[in-house]
Amino acid sequence: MNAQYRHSQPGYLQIIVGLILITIGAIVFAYGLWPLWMPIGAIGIFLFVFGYKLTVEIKDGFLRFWFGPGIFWKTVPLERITYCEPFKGVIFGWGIHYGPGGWLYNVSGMKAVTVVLKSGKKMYVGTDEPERLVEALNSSVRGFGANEVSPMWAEAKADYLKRVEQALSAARHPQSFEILADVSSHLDRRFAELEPQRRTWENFQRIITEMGPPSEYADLVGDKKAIWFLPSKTELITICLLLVMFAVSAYFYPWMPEQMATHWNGHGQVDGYMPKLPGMIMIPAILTVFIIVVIVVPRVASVWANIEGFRKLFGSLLVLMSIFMSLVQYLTIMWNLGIKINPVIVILPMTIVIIGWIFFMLYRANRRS
Amino acid sequence: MNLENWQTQLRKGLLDIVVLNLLNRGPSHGYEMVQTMKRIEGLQIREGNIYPVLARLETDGLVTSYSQLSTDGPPRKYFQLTVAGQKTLENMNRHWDQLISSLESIRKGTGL
Repeated sequence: MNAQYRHSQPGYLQIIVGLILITIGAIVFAYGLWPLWMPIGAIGIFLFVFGYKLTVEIKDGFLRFWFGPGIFWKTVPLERITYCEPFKGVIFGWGIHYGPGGWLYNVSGMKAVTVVLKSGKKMYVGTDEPERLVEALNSSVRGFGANEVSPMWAEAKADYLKRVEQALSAARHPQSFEILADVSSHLDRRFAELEPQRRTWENFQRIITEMGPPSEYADLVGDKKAIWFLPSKTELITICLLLVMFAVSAYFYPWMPEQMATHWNGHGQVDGYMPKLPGMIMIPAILTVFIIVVIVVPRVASVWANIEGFRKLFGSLLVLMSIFMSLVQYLTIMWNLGIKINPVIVILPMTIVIIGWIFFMLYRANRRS
Repeated sequence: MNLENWQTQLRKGLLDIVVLNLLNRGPSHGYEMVQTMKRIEGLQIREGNIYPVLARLETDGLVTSYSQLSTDGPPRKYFQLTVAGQKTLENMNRHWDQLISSLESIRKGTGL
C-alpha cells in the first residue's frame, strides 16, 4: 500500500561536515602525512551516510522513521499513539539523544513533533514540517477509527498488537510488519461489525480471545531454522564493531613498534609489552571467541531450550562488551602511536557499567520469572 | 494421548492446504477466509492464525497480494494463487488423496 505520508528532512550540517572530513581524510591519506587519516575519513563517512537525511513515513497503520538509507529505523504502531503536537521547546543537538522526558531523533533544524504513547512514554521526531506531520498523524489515527470511537477498544487492540509484535520479533519473523498490519486491519473490521450497543469491554476481550494467543503466530512461522539464523540488531552491531576493529588494527599495524605496550598498571604506567603481531591480534581474537560462543554456538547446537530469553539477556551485554574491547584496542593503538591516554580512565568506568548492567538484567529477569 | 492437542496440531498442519484450496476458488482476503473456515466443521481456526500462514505462502511465492479500497473499513488486502501456487496445490491435493486412501486401506485392512 502507498504511504499516507512520507517526508525526508536533509541534515545539512552532517552533509557539509561529513564531506569536509572525508576530503581531509583523503588528502592526508594521499600525501601519507598521518596514520590517523582513516578515523577522520570514517567519521566523515558515518556522519554523511547516517545524517544526510531523516525520513518519516506513515503507512499501513504505522509511523516509521529512519536515518540515511534506512539501516537504523524505528516503528511505532499508530494504535499506541495517544497524542501528538509540534514540539514547543528548544532543541539542542542532532542525532539520537535524550530530550525532555523521551528520546529525540533529528538531523537538522530546531523543529520536531512530540509523540506521546499510551504507555506514557514520549518521543520526539525531528522534521522541518511539524504541522504537516501532526496533521497526517492525527488523520491517520482517526482513519483507523479506534481512538475516537472507543478508547477501550483502542487499548485492547494496542495491547494485543504489542504482544503479537513481541512474539513475532522474538521469532525473528521476516514479515512481522505485514502481519501486524493485517491483524490490525482484521481487528478494525471486527470492531466495525459490532453494533454500537455491543461495544463493551467483554465483547472486546472476546474478539481478542478469538484472535488466538500471540505466541501461536510465531508457531506458524514455517521454516524456523532459516529465520532463526538471521542475526538480531545487537548481534549485527557486535559483528560490525569486530570487523571495524580488525580493519583499524590491520591499517595501523605497519606503524606499530616491534615491541608494543599492551598492559598498564593501576596508575596508567606500562608494565607489559608484546611483539606487535600478537599485541594487535589479541583483543580482536578474544572478541571473536566471545562472538562464536554467544552468537554462533547456540545456532549450531541448540543446547539451550530458552534460547530467545538467553539472547535477550545477552544482546545488550554483547554490545557493551564489544564497545569496551574496541575502546581498549583503540587506546592501545593510540598509545603505541604516541598519543598517550591512560586506558584506566576507560577500563574502570566501563567495568562498573558492565557489572551494573549484568546486575540490572539479572534483576529484571528475576522479576519476570 | 491428548486428543485435543493432536487435533490442534493436525489443524495447524492442514492450514496451508486449506488456505491454498480456498484461494483456488478465487481471490480472497484473510477475514473472508477465516469466516469461511469458521463455518466448516473441524477447520475452525483462531482468527489471527491465518496471517502468518498467508505471509509465509507469499514469501514462498505461492500467493500474491494486492490492496483494494473498501467502503466499510480499512482497505482490504486480497490474496490470490500464483502459477507456482497452483502447481504446488495440485501436488498437495494429490498427496492428500493418497494419504486418505492409504489411511482407509489401513482402517479396513485391505492394503496390508
